[in-house]
Amino acid sequence: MVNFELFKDAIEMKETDRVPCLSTYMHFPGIYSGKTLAEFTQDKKIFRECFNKVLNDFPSDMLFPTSHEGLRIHERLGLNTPDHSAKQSTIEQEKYDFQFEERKTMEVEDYDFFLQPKVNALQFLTKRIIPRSYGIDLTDRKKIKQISAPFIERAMKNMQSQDFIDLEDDDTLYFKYIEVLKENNYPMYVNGIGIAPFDLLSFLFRGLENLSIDLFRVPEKVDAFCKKWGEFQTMMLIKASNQAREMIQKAMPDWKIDPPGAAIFCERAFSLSPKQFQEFYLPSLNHLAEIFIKNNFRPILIFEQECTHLLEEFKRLPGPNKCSFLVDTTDIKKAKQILGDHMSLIGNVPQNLLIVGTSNQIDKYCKELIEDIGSGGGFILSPALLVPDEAKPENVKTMINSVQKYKPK
Amino acid sequence: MSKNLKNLMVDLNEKEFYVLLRNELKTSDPLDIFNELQKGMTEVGELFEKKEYFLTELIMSGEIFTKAMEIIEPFIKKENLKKKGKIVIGTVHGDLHDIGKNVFISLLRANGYDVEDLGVDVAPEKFLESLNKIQPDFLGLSGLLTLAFEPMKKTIELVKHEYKRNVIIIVGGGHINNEWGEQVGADLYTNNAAKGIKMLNETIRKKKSE
Repeated sequence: MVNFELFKDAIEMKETDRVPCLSTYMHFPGIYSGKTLAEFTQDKKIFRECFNKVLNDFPSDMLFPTSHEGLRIHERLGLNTPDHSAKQSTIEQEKYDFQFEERKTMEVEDYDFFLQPKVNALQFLTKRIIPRSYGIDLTDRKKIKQISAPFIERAMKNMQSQDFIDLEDDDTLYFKYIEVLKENNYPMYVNGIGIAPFDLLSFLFRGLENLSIDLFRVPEKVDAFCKKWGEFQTMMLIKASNQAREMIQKAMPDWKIDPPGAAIFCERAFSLSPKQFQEFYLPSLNHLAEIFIKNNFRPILIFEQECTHLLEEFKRLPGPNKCSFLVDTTDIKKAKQILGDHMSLIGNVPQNLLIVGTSNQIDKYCKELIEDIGSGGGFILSPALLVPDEAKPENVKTMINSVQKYKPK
Repeated sequence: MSKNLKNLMVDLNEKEFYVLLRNELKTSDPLDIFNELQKGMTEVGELFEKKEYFLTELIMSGEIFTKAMEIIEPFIKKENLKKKGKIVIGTVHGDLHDIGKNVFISLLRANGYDVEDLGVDVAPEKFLESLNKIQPDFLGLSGLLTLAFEPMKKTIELVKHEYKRNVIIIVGGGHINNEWGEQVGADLYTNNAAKGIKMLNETIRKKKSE
């Protein structure tokens, strides 16, 4: 059963009688009902039935639906090109979603190209990234023009249009989520979406291995790139998020959420030393988070993988009580000690435990989280990132039930 | 043989490292240089394990080692480069991620292993085929996503059933813990590349002392 007030109190660092439980699902509802990925994502009726069944069988206080489809920012930017895109593995296409295939579309010389004062982000995309994504030789100006002209036109149109996020298109998973949430009386808390600018450089342009080497060979260029690109990316994400919020509020007028959440994915911070994080990652991330806050969103920073070594640095993120931290495999006890006064914590029942663990192990893990991390408030129990598609249903149930069974110390 | 070469490698001081490397090649035995590089990589691995170095530093050290090997390898007789063991490695079926695998491979090479990299999204049958052809000491299965659990299990079941020789199976990836490793039936398991190398080295050491 939804308990939004309890969730909101906890996320805003207030002390609560009990710890709320948040569930985030990708395709677990489909797999739980024995459906294929295609059936679950493409058939509206099946999608609703599967989600309704999960919400009935595993009633949590709050729900974050999620999908790789997301707001399809990359498509709207024209980045979903034939070579550079999400791909499916050769097997299990029935069962699993797309995976992002990391490819290098930016050479080290391109830092200098982009960092010229006269070159803007769109020119960088059309003259370097898009041609490479299509496998076009950069000296073939005629072909580059053919590709880049429609891209610029589309990008400019999208950026200026009122329906940058076309959520009226009820075929999108996003819209299907809204329908399911409405039907089950859950609000759509996360209205905004973002990704750390450093991560985009890593994922879309240079790749983690090349970027790691750049940090040693051309550190000043990486720094300047993140700052310049970060400005453009922040502008695009805020525009998309403001439009999404407007649409969600129109679709769910009964829910007045102030401020709504903005999920900011921080997927590559784990790879950095504290000094590198402070120098290269934090400035553009902080800029993004602060602009979200200015636009009345509450950033939920999703730091993937183990970032225990960065916890002291996280104190430099906006706060106190301006952001929340969704914890993956970072040591959550240390996070509580270091950041307990700075931001609320969400997490972190391990995905591997939900798949291979027993109900007893889940119960023990959740008890410790609730009693220790829940103490003093500002904590929401949730899976680390999301309920994995392969989770044992009995483990999901144990996790959700634990918030009724145990109390913070 | 100067110890500075190793130290420059550990400090990831690329510029000074290559200058010194070329100078050392004029006066020192290339095999001694190679041994110094290996010591440097071992120290980087230890720093990673102690959480004093992080993934970017591990990747950079791998880059320096690879480039250094391109320079010194032509000066070393192949028969003098003793290999510790052979490993067939790949990311399991369904998973397209390879960063963890690639980092592990660079550490393997620096530690003197012969590596057959099968790439990503590798079907169980392809692993088996490669085992039969190469007959390695180790089979490495990598996977980042939670979906890697079933393909790892299936691959190990197939290998245990169909492969007639002895091979030690190591699984690695971000989600791997004791339960995961045991339930897929692996001999060794880790979520830390440097620890994985230690496990393999220890296995080789035990094998030799038997």
